[in-house]
Amino acid sequence: MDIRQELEQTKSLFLTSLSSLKKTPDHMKVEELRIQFLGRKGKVNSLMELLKNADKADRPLFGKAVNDLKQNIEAEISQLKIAAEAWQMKTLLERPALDVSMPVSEPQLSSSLHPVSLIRMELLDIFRRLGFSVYDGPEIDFDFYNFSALNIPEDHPARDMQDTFYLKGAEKLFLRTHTSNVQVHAMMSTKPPLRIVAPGRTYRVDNDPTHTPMFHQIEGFMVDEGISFAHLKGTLDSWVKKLFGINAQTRVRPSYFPFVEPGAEMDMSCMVCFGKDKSCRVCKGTGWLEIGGCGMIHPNVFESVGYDSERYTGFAFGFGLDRMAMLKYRIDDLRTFFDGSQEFLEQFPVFSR
Amino acid sequence: MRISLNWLNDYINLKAYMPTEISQTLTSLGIEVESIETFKTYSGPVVVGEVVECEKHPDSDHLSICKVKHIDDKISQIVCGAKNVKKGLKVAVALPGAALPNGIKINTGKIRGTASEGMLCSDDELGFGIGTDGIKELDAKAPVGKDVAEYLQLHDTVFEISLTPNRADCLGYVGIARDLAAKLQTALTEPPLKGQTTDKISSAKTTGVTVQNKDACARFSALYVQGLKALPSPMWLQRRLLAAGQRPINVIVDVTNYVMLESGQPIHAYDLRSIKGGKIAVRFAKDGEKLKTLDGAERVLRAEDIVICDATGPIGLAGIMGGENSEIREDTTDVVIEVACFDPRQVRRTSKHFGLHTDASHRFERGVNVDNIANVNERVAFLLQKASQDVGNNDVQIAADMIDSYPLKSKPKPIALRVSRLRKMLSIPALNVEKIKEHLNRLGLKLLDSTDDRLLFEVPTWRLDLEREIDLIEEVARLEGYERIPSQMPMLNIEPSYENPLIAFTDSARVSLARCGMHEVIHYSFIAAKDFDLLMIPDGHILRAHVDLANGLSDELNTMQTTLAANLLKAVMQNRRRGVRGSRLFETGRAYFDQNHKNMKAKPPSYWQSYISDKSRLMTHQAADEKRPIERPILAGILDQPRQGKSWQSEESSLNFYDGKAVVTNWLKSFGLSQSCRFEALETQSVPFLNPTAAATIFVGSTAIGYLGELHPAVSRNFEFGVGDGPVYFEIDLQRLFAKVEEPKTFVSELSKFPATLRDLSFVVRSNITHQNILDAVDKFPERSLLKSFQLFDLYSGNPIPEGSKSLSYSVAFQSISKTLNDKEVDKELDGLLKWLNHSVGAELRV
Repeated sequence: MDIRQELEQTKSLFLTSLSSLKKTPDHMKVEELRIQFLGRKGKVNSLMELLKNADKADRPLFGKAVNDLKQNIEAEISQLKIAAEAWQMKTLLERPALDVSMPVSEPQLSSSLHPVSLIRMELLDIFRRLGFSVYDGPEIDFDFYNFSALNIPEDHPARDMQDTFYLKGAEKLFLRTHTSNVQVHAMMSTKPPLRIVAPGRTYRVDNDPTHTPMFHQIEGFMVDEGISFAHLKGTLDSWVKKLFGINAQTRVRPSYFPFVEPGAEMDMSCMVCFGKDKSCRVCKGTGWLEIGGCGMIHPNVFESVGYDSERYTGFAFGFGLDRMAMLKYRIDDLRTFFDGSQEFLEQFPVFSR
Repeated sequence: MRISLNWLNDYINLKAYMPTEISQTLTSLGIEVESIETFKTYSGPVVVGEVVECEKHPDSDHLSICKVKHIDDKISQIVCGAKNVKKGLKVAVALPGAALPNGIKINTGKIRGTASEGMLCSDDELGFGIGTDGIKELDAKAPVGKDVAEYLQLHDTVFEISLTPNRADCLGYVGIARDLAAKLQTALTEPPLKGQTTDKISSAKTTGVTVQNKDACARFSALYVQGLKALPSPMWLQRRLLAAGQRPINVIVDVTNYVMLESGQPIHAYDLRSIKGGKIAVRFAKDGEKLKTLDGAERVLRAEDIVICDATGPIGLAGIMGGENSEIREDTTDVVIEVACFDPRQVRRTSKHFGLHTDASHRFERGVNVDNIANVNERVAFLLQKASQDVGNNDVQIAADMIDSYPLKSKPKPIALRVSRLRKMLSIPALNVEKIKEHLNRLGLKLLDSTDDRLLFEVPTWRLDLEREIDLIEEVARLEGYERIPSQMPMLNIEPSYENPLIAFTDSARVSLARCGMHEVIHYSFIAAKDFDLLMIPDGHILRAHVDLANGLSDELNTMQTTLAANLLKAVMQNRRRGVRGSRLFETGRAYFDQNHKNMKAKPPSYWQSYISDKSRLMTHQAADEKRPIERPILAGILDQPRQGKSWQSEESSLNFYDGKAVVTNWLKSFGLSQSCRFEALETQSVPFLNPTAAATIFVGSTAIGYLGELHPAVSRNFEFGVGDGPVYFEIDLQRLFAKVEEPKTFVSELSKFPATLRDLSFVVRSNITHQNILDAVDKFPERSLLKSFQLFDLYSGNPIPEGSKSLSYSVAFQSISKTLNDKEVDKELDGLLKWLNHSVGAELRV
């Protein structure tokens, strides 16, 4: 091919492209143009190839012409690049503004933890700060751990306080009725001092708006030399204040749980009406809410696990996590906790308090 | 238990206290008051009236037209049907606005054309009990216009109390009064006992009593009472029973109930005519012996049940319920009163066996005061006599002799209390020895001996719950008041104790999985046995090595779960029914396996093998002694269709295996395990409810930590999803995962500062070669030195790729730690890699 002709054609092709690009200097098209003319297999390189075959005499002249063209193109393209950037910036800034209220359409990564989990984690955090370790224990257990070792002998009316789910074909095995079985497991495998909390699933034959056949409890106990009822009151007051705020009050009053003595019911002040509303639905106007049982660990319990009941004293308490969550989030029907409704659960994001 | 304040006032003077104060005192003693009720039988104006005129109704032969003076000497005309109405009578008049307990609301109206502005009431209509016929006749001195209930002192306050099972002594009014008296430091008045007895009749001559086993019946007393009539009880007695929630029947039955409520001691009265042969025996039943109890049910007795018999057979189930054959009838006149003490354990067993929980069995189970039995019997006789007199029967005779079989007298129970121990337990600084003695004294404990630190007390026979020192400490604390115990934080050795790290790990697993766009749910741990069928788990599979409940609430809640799949699938379906699609739920829970189940013995697919052997650190310090069921901590997640609903930017897209894989992989990233995690096609029959073409075992290193997959289409249908519309499910064994998390990791500290060179490669391999096969081959590439990463970006099959093969394209990066690479160096390693892949997986470079 004739180099002269080719040179002219390249020149005019470039000028045509250039003039159209100058009006709308799209940066992609500028890059295409650069590749077309300056790329490895571009027009300028083909001219260079042609140059090799040209007459020797013509070479200096054409050589200079090709070189000039190349420089010219390079200069134009670098100009174009600057223009393209400016043009792109202008388009980005001058286009109509987005409707920022349009909904997100990717799968939404909403996430939540179960309210009972949230309460449990918050409580475990408090108890760990108070020096307690967290234990777990079996949910299917033997009579010994759930009842006998806890001073609830067979044929004792105290067994009626906890209606038990039995296993088919295993008379002495059943679903634990409380987390107190962890006391027995822990004491039988470790020596004092003990500072333990044990949350977990528990089971009783029951089904109504405030009782479900499965529910959650947390057990706490401390065993050492010189532990007194005053320490139980101090600890109780401390965790309730940390969970419900500094204005929360606690009280204990005599009650009966076979594995503690003196035994007590723990109450906290009603955080809804502070005892000021006689028609308060939450505390029924009493100003107090029952939260669980507690007391000094009965010496019979120490003796059944082989502890020296003269040397060691201890306190224990237990309460319902579900009830605590109901109080904290003002939920009336316990069963909503266990029916898996995502709409309900979405109200409890991972970091909610 | 309902406690009438009027009644309680018989034993302790509480007139100075408001009901709320009494309630608080009871609660502070551990006798929890659940509610306080003002016990009034009627509401509205029912007042004392005087009949100032009384004439026959012209159109009726039994009605009278009365003019009655009442409030503020107003006079109303009232039509009355009673025969005993007459001029000058003081009556109870219900005025318009009153509502009577039988449901009648008083209005102004007309009776037989005559205006009537109220009603003259009978006892029955006032709700005072069953009375005589006709309207109530009030005393001539009754002040006109005064509220009738107030005048008759019929208003009462009733405390509904909830009693803990240790306080058997408080199952009677006297016990509650005794506790209150001790706390309020006031006197207790014991009820009067002795009636007028006669030696003209004799209990011993009327009935013989034999107690065959003294363990079954520690004491049995019988007293003969003659000349009774089954009349309605006097008003005072009926009112008290009504307030206590008991229905008055007749004076004989009512007195036995009254004394039971008063003393806590159950009482039974037999019609003398029904004691055949004049003999009473207490013995164990013969196996198969029958007794029709008062409730009309025929009971087939067992050899361990204790019965009361006459010469012909059982007439009562001891301590629980009498027999229909010896019941008090309307024509009963002569009775034998039984007051006894039966073995609490056996009463409980028999009562449980027959599902027969009665006021009597409730008390015997908890224990009665054996020393008080003769007194109670005398008290019953005394009240039978007195109450009968009150209703006009003066013929009641009480035998002077009481039969009392009490072979082994109860021994006094001494308990020592160390003052130092008490102080240590309660840390009440101001509590001195005198105060301690006083508290216990008020509760009926007798100080036997006292040395420096040691006080020896004798426990009264009604306090069966006081057994050792700690019980006395509690008594002192109760009377002193728990509020007097200070609140202190313990002084502790701050050395932290052991905690199973799996517990905290489980919480972080929950948080991190939630952060992958999931919602935590909690379900019961129960499933239905038929769920295994719905999940297509075949007989013999380890997932069927389940534990069953003997008394589950229903067939739906009768089996302990071995997988969380059934409950999560139901939850997703439930959400769909509520219009929530695309739910993403997870749960942590336990899977329960019966170690002794035959399915645990068959060789399971390898994923499950360690479920039989590996029990390491499932729980903190669980005593590993017995063959208890295995409880494995698991976590499961479920992703519902669609992946994404239709939106303004895209069409609805459906969910598949890879969406589940994305969640699991992202989640494992939180623990630094995404690099070492692998997904391998699920072993056949390992998890039968997943679709075998779209399911995997999840490995971290060489440990299978869980499984993931699309639901088997048939299972999808079983749970009411469309065949192709099922969710994606995964389940993780937390204990195995945690073991991997805990393994030490190596960290790269020196990172290259030089640029990486990228090359894209396409290979053709046989279709059965997996991406993982290629990655594993790359990992084993012996000449590897510059290769940095190897990432799939395209998968293609079809023309021109030959059938049975597929094309995979990878983006490969090379990088050196010490310099910028040139093409020659990269090409050299790349050539080696291509040869290696050709050799190991048959990969051909696609040109």
